[in-house]
Amino acid sequence: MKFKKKNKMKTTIPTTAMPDIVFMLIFFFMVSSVLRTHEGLSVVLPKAKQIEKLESRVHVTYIWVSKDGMISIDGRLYQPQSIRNIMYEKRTADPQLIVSIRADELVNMELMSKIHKELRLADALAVNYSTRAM
Amino acid sequence: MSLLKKKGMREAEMPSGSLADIAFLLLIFFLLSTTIDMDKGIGIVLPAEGGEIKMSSQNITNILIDARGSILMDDKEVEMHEIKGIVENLQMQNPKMVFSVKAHPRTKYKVYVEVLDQLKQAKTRVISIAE
Repeated sequence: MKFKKKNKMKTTIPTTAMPDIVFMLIFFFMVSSVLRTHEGLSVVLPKAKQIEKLESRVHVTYIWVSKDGMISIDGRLYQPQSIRNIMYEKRTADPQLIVSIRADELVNMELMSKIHKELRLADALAVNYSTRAM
Repeated sequence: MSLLKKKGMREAEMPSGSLADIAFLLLIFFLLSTTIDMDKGIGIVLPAEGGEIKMSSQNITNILIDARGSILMDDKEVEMHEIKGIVENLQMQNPKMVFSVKAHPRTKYKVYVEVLDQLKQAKTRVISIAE
């Protein structure tokens, strides 16, 4: 009986806060999973050391270029020559537009030059080559 | 046994003071973890269409990349890791130096980004992309 008395001295774990915490976690995971989804192609980004962060996500448009030469913008596939129209529209809607090029490391520069030319024609000159950290 | 039960009831109190602490901790953690996930890359500004500027050839260093990934800098073949040092030297000699990167159509994008990375590491201000 002495042993049992000692056992009763233990405090119980408060469980009222549990649902709050769990709900917060759930909300977070819901929101972050929506933010993280990139609608794009599967690419292996090139590596680089001297990298800078993109300041805001609001003014950024992504161009995905896969190693077999497919180009995807906003989840749709396009031909290189149609980039200028899309980018021109985006550029007029948002003058601060930054184009983030997420291209596979095995893409030929021929295609990249085409994309550069299209972006220049669309006057979307701020470009960011998306890379992995080394 | 009745005595023991009474003791137990007395201690049934909920410490809710630390709840705010926990919530803040979670909030801070989530804030940090979401900003870390930002996109990173090499930023560059393309030249405007038709806006070619003539420069004296003294102020331009041409960097050519061929299809196999060899790099030619002012008619001299250089290794990838050497570029940073050479560029730093050139910039000290001539602060107005512009570096023009030109790649063969069959060059891999990976090599091109590596060259740009080297230039960025050398704190180059003006990088020109020749088509």
